Amino acid sequence: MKKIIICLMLICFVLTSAGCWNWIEIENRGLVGILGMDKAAEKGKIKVSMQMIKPSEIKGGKEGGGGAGEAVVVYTDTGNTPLDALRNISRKTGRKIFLPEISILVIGQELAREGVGPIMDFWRRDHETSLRTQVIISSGKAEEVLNTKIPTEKVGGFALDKMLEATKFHSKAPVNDILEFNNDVKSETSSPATAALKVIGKEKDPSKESFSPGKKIIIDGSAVFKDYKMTGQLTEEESRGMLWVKGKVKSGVIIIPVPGYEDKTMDLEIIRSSSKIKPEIKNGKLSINIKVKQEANISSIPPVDINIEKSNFIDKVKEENEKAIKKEVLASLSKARDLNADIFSIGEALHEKYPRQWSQYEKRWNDLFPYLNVKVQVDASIERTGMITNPLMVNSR
Amino acid sequence: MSTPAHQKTKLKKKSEAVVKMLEAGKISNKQLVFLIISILLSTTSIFLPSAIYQEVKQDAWMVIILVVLVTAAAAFVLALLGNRFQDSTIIQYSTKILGIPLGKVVGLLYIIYFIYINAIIFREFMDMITTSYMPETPSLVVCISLFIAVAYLVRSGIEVLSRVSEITIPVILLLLVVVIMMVLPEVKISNFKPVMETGLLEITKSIYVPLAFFLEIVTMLMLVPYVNKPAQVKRTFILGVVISGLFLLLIMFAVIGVFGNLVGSMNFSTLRVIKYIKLFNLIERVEPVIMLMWVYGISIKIAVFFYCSVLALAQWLNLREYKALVLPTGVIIITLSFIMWDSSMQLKTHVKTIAPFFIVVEIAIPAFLLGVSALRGIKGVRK
Repeated sequence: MKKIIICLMLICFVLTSAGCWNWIEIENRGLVGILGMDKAAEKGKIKVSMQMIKPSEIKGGKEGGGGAGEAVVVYTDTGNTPLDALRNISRKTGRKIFLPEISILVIGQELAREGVGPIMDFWRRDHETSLRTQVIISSGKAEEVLNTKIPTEKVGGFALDKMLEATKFHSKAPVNDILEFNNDVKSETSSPATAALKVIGKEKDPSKESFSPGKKIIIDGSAVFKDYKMTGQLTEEESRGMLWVKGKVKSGVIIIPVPGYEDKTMDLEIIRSSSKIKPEIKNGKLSINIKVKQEANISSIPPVDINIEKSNFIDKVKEENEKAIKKEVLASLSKARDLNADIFSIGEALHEKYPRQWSQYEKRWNDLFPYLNVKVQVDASIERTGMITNPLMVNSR
Repeated sequence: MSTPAHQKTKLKKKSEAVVKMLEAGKISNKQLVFLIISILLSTTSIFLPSAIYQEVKQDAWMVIILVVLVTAAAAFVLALLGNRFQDSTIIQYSTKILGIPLGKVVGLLYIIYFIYINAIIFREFMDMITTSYMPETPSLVVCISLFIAVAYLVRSGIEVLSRVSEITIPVILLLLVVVIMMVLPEVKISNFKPVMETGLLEITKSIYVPLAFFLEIVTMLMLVPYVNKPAQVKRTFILGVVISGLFLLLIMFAVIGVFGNLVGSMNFSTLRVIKYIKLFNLIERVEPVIMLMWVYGISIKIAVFFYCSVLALAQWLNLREYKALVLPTGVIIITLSFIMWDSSMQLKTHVKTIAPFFIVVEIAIPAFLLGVSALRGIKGVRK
């Protein structure tokens, strides 16, 4: 009898004590797709904007079940620190913001130029946030990005996720999460570079019928940081130049002039690439060798009179290909020198190879980097020519 | 309450027979290995990666190898001592070796050591739960709910305790391997370079904190008399140390490989690395699994230390029963874990300053006891 009573008491105890102190039911949580951070109008304050997901519009599964309304709603509020602003926002939403689901953090350029240190510290310190959250810098206000509707997705966060995922098809912007960003900040020499985006186009005119979405978000090169402060921006060409050096170009298109017909262009599809940074110290002089390896396929040739089966043609294409890659790499290198930002982690490569001599370079890296003796060597190969061989000649009969 | 009369007398007889032993249970050598793994792995796997990284950066994994080698050698010495006195615990034979007054002082030192370590583990456990999962839950609630479970385990005796470890520890180790496998795609080899940057001297210097953690294996000298085959205890000890070391090495590899230079600034890097898992956009947020296993592992570790402190106290005071001491000792441990440190940062620096003293208790005193007993020719009963 006594045992039964004890068992019953224990069961009651288990039932009543489930969950922790700060337990919130899932339907009362504020689920957020993207979070945006901007400099507020008041001095020293941060403006947080977020796309909150409306649960009633998302659920339902099949088309039509979700209702006709918008799936998200954008709220903004200001605060002295990121967390302050996030808690202030609850005054408007009535829900505590659920941070773990945030996959993208958009930071406005103004705030990025002032420094993102407090945001990064908060993100690393908080127990809810994820180190996988991706950082994007908006060249305008982050709030504007959040307010731009992307018709293909109900939730803007998912759309931006896909945009970042799709960078592997063109390799014109780097993808960095909080972890990689902070790894570069922590390193004494490296500078983080992360994807940038901008909003283009005008608000859609409701009187004109059109399938075009009006305002659009577009991934646009990358933003370069020196420690926690944004110092400059790379164009798409320079961004890919940086990715060549880092060995992160996965795919993309290279435009080159057709050998023999310099006024016409053909293109190549990048299949894979890899790279190696080889620092060398000889007689106390430091030189850096960057080796980029690439494989590409021919993807289109204009209708001109050529025979691609002659090895000589492929060799020339290869040469042009190498030239084009080298041009991109050199463009990024000169921009990096201008900004004095080691976005390639050349310093870390030197650190790896010469740990003993490293200490004498580490402190002077800021003075050394712009004047480094860098040699770029590209080793490209043209693997295949696609489904056809020669282009069809228009007047060859 | 409804036990028949003859059974009652049987129980009484049995308890009379074991008055000398205090504990009638028997555990197998395999169970002892699991107990060793639970005490060596459950706290080190959470706190050591960051602590070592702060000292020697990417060479932290070498420190683990060095520590395991040193600990294996120390475990050999401890096993020699345990082998010499197969029928009694360190509290009992220290009086035999050094005489009553000095031996009692040594015994008291060990009781304080067990209670002290237990307070540290309790505090670490609370800090971990409250910072990473339930920030608003009062620590006392976490602490007392754990204490109830552990006190029950301790009162059930060493046999039950070892069986629990035999069931849970293999599952924990298996889960650990699975989870680490899931992190592997994120590991960057460049995070381990350059190798040996800090130099062998720095690596050797930085081993004393992890060594203090690993030498907690000295606790097993309280359990040697209850092992089935005390003669094989050498093998058992070393096996336990090596297995724990390998798993810690695996964790270290994952943590450094994924987080690189940020490991030093993290509080619970192992938890963080498991939070970072994202496989095929499908497997995410597996950290509750790892949390579950750590709660199990740490409970067993606390139970082992708790059991040892209570048993040691009972033997030191020549009591017939240790169960009555469970509650008062527990209250002391919990109180200590609350009042000794103001914040988790203070605990960290405190552990660093106290580590050398721990090492003295953990290996210097047993080695001294072994030396004196060999010189004086004192031996326990061999089984």
